[in-house]
Amino acid sequence: MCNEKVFQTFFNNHGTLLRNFLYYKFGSLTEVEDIVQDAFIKLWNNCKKVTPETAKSYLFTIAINQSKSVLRHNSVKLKHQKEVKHINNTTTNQSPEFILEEKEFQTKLENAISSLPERQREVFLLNRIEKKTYNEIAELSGVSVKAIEKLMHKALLKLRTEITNIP
Amino acid sequence: MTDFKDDIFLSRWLNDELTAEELKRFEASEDYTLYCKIIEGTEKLQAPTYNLENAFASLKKAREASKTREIRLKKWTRVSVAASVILFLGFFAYFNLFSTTTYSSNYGEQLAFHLPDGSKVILNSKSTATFSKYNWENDRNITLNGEAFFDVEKGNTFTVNTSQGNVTVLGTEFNVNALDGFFNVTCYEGKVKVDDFKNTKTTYLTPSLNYTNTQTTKPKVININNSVPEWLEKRSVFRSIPIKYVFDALEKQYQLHFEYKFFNDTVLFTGSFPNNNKHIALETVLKSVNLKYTIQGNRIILED
Repeated sequence: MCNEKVFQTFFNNHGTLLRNFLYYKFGSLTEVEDIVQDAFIKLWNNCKKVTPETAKSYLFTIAINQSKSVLRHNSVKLKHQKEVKHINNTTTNQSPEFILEEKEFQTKLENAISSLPERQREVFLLNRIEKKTYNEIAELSGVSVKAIEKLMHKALLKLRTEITNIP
Repeated sequence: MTDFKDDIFLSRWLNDELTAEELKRFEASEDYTLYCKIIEGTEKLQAPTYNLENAFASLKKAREASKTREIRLKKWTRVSVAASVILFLGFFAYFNLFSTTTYSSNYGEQLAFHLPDGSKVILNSKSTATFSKYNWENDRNITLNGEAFFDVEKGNTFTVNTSQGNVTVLGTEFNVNALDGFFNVTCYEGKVKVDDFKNTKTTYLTPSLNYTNTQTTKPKVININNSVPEWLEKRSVFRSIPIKYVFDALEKQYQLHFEYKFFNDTVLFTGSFPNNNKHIALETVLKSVNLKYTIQGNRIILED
């Protein structure tokens, strides 16, 4: 793992997935690429302790732990921003005539996805965009397949509620 | 809204794990199309492409930077550890090897202490002795200011340094009194070597011999017949000593201050005074030289 060529190959194989995984988790790219970089650097610095088989789960564990502390910090920020957003929403919702065109639906869907709790969004998008099976996702985030299935189910329910505005 | 029998129903639907019957009922529900649209819409989404090449390059750069920082830190840490160890040892050496121990006696006080080799030292009033306690083996020197009696353990040689001269000893008992311009050494046992700064000749004292040198008298050695200095028996004894040193002894003993203008203080005095009675002491000394005096607190004013 310490060899640069080997490490670069490993990076090329898993870099995108890790970065997208975190992107889905965060819903934005702002802190994601720094976390990806830090995780890979940590892996590289500890390359002697890691075998090619364990490297991937080691990498994801580092990244997930790092994300947790970043998210904990961010949650405070988001709470304040939500209030501001809410005021803006009331002004845009004033037009009652509202045709559900495909383009508009897409915007709604994207908004709904970004309003998902991070775990739900992460699982939902990994499955739908990255085409990862429940098994693979479970392995990446270190939880059971059952938990992933529940998260998927919840994510869909939430999206439906968000889009239709009917609880 | 559609009620789902279990909490993973939609997951199973996406994974084609529904039974034919379940699927049929779900397809008939009002939300089915919406769910399909959600899935279709999501499939159109894509994460922005990740430039792996650039990312790897910046990763390498960041790693190098953090590495050099780490190494610098490590180097710095090593240096600081080494520095603190040296500093610590330095302090230790300073406080232990080069530090000195000082004993001082106050007015009318006597103070006894032991040297590291077991030799006994008794300081007469208002005297100071300094020596290095932790480096005694290499630095067997005592700096004395005032008067002290030494009872030296056999086989231990050391030197008493004073402002007036040095006294070197080998297993003996002796008394040293060194004041400004006054040097008095008495040997009671063994042998001492006296190096008077104002006398080029080295003097050796054997038991019962007393060496005196003052500014106004010539160095002389006389015989005495005491086994210990009189001051240890609460008496101060003077043998042909300029009276100013007698005043000095009184001042130290009773915390006094003599004041006079025209009195000739080089007059020799032979006699003694007690160390435990101020009035008798003053009377004895001053009456013997026919001096009238008044006492004002601690001041003794002599009438011319």
